Amino acid sequence: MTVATTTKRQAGASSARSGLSGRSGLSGRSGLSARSGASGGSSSLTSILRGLSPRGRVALGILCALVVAVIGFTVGSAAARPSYPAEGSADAGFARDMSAHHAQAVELAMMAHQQASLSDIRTLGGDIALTQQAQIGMMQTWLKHWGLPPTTTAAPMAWVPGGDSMVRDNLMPGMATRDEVEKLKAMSGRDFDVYFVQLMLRHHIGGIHMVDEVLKQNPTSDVRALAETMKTGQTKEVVLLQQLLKEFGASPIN
Amino acid sequence: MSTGDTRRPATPNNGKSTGEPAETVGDGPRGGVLPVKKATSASNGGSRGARPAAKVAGSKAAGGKTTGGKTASVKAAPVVDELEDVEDEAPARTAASRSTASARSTTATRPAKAGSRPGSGRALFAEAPAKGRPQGKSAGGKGRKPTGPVKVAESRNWGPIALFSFVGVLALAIIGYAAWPSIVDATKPSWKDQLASISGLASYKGETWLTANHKSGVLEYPVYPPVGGDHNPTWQNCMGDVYTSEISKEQAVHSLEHGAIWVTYRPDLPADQVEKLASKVRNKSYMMMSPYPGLDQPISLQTWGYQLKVSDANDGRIDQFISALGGAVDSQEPGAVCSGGITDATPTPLDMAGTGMDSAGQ
Repeated sequence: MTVATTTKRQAGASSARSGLSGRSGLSGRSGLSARSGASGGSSSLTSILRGLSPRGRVALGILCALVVAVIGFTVGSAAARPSYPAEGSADAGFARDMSAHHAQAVELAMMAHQQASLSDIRTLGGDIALTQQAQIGMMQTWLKHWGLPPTTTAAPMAWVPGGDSMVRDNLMPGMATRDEVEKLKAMSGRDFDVYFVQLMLRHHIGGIHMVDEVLKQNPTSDVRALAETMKTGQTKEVVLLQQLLKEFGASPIN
Repeated sequence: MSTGDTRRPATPNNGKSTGEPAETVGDGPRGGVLPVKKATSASNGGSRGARPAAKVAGSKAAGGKTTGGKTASVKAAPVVDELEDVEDEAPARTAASRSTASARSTTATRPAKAGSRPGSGRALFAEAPAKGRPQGKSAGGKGRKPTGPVKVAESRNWGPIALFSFVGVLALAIIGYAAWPSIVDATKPSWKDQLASISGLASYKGETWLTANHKSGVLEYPVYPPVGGDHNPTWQNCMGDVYTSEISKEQAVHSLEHGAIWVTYRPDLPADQVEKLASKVRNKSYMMMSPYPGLDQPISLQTWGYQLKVSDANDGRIDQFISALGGAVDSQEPGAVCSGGITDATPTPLDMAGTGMDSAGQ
């Protein structure tokens, strides 16, 4: 006991020197009160707390801690965190469906790049194929970055209100059927050129329609930026394709 | 609570002027006496103070104290008597400490009256002694708090506590915020997690035969329908193509390399089931379907290195497989396309005329 008491004293003395008194529930209170007295009396906070029961103080402390945590988290979230589109969002649906839509444009454009009789159309085909393939890469990277799978078993256009009415056999607006693709593949010369322009014109118009749908749903900035450039670029190409069709003396197809 | 306060002023003096035993004894009674005298319910002090005294003195009174301390709030009068006895004993044993003791009691009484403020400056010392008396703490703590200690506790300095709590919680919030994305990522199932949940899935990943060289002609595979390996330089078109007759497996394997899902079915599969499968494939990027004569199961789905064989087109695992592996998620050549391939349905692989590679794979 004696030895123990001595040790206690020493410990007490050292803690007194360092001024750290708050750890022990028993004596810490009085120790702290002394400090507060020395530093010029109790604050208004102390006087408020004085009116509370111990449980009340604990409750108040927890409440304050929670408020602070929520404020800190909210401020941090709003200030720094990019919000990723979730599964089922228009952004995700657009990225997936436009990837598939673009993939067919690439298919048609690559045929034109190889098979068209007019060099202008071969060049146009290469331009469309390379541009849209690169955009597929962007959209796929988004999905990966958002932690979302590149595809789901959901029907195409499910992210658009009433989108199911735009889809036939999993085909999105403007897309060619496999038969139409095969038909084009079997063509050559001027026939190929005309049919390619007809298919690509319809495809572009459908694509612009999809872009409009995602822009209506307030997409995130990256999606909005790419969607807007798609619309601008494809609208220009629509004008070009319509002009070509006019020169061919042909009409658009539905 | 009050015990700690009163004890403190006394102890330093004790240590210097008197022997250690005296201190402990002195501490005990004092702590015990004061609370009991000032407030019948100040049992905290009573038990805490009493115990050390009991040990050192080894007297009956000491024993009585401990009990008295515990029941102080109930039996106020007896406790006071007992404690007073001890106080008498202690000074008697260590005569030298008398003067100190009386000095102590004055100091001690004052704090008790004034709500222990003056003594609190030395409360620092109480931390260590408090540890040495766990029994007193645990024995008396709960029952006594409501009455005695409340007065003392009100003087706790809340400023620093509030500050440290604020900073601590803020730090936790920041850490939590920073850690949140990784927590979410960890809980989000990857396509591999989804695959792992598909019962009956066969994986051939890591097999030495899962090579990817271009070879012409008819090739042999260790697994049928093949799930990967050397393949024809040309791929089968897999833009949601639904082939109604057998296609070249050597070209199909090239499609698998590009990330396609190849749905195969035994030719005797009922037409409605064939249509059910076709509806999942038709016009879907990175998918194709064809009959596969000699298939050991009615239906088999494959991507590069993975295969799922089922007996019915309504089997839910088909959608699980497509959901997990669709969109070329596991493409061996990310970005490789499914268009531009062979769209003819013929079991004979395209011959690379003039390349001299016809027999390379046989």
